[in-house]
Amino acid sequence: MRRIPLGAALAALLAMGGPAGASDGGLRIAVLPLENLSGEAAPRSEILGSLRGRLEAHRVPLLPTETLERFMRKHRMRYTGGLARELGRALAEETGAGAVLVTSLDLYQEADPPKMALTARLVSTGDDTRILWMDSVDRTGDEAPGLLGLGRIHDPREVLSEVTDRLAGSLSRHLFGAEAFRRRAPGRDSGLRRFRPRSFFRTSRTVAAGTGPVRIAVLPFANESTTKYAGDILMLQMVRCLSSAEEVEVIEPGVVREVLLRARLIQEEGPSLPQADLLRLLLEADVVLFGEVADYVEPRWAGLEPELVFSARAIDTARRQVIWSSSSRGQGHDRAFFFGLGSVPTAHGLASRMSRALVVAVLPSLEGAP
Amino acid sequence: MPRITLSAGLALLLALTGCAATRGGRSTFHDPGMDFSLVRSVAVLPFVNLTTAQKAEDRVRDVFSTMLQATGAAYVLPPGEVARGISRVGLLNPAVPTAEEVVKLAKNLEVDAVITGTVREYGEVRSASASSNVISLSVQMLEAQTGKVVWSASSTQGGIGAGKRLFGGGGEPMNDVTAEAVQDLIDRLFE
Repeated sequence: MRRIPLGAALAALLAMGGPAGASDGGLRIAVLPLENLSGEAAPRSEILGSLRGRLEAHRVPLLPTETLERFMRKHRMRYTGGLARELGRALAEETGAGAVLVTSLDLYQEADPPKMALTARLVSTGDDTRILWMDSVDRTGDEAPGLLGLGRIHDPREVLSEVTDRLAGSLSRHLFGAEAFRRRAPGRDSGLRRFRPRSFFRTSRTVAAGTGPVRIAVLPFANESTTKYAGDILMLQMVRCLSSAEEVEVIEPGVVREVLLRARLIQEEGPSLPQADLLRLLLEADVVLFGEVADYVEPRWAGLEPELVFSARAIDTARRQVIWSSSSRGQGHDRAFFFGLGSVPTAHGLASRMSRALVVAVLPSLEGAP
Repeated sequence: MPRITLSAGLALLLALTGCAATRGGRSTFHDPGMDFSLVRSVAVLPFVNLTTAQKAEDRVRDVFSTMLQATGAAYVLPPGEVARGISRVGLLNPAVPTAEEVVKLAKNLEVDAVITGTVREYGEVRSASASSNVISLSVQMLEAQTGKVVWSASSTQGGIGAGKRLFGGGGEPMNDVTAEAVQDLIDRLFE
């Protein structure tokens, strides 16, 4: 498969006036129904409605809901946590959607203090299914109480409004060129120090990627915690942090899932070397990343502390060797200052920061040959 | 007889009660005939769990594997590859392999040594108003050519010390205690 730089792919989508079927010739984004990873009952329609409203307010062109629902019924599309290649092609041909917005609800709590976290990514349709943009936003009602607690939010709808607005704004800034999604990773950022892995190994040899950036397949993380979807949440955070680095190209998780299901690849303790060979063949993956979440504690009431413990490994599929392995653990109040300054209120927030710190540490081994 | 003042006597008593705290529990064996510099790659087998904490053996094995890999002294096979080797060789009880099984497995996986372990204690201990996390584990290295034990060590970390016994309070998080015990073992592997 010939590799096309991501910026060129998005520019082409915006410039070509959309595939046949788009009424005004512009790029239209199909917003898939939410994937609920919070483990709680949540008003998904209301959340999705709020997100669509914010996107439209930011002038992001959306595919009508009825068109998408017709397509999903026709193709019996039940999984909304990613986009497989065939479905991406069919969506482009039949509806004219140039991209799909895949959104997951990672955290939801209505009881005071209300909490919410959304992770969303924009995936191109057509022949080349790839991640064009990704971001994650979380907010709790008590994370910025301010003077005398006047800044506390008690209404979950207010939290919902803020989260969807920030996410829509992030996508809008990327689509209209105000902010580049992919950039060179930061150097050793002192702000990430407290979230760095506790033990870490990285090979000194860089991955040989051939032409183009290093292609990484991120497998679902094994989940040994008591939080039902902790493995998926952490996988998405790793995908988000890696996909924003211009040195790498992360394979769309929906495509990875499709290959794992078709090849019947079950990897209870992570992939074996022959399985990594197969992923190299089927996905053209230079690196396979997998891991395990040991603890993921989201505090449900005041006084409890969020906690996250996970390990991650990556295999260079060409050399058939582990190129990095790490063990990370942290709690929300680690190295917090007086009155909780610097504390992280949610496990989702810890996942975001610890994933970022891990990616900064491993990227030097992924700077493949151009 | 030298006079021992009351304050000196109290200080001595406190020091002695401190020595009774559960920490260390160390014992180490190194085969004197083994050249450990020849061990370049290892496979860490599933650990035995003698505690009531579910999945304690998986957690400790995971921490041990990543921390051993982090030293850079030996290459640690990914767990999926170890699982494949165990399945191919047909080990009935991979946590306690025989010497012949170790030789077969090591040949299949192309490693220089195999590591097994046992988790003897894992979790919270309580004494009156004090509670703390404790871990006790032992690890063995078996070399690939003969399946013999060439290194073994045990470590116990955490528990309730004199201070907590007198004044109450909690202890370190379980994962930190686990990391301390594993680091202790790895330090003694390279002694």
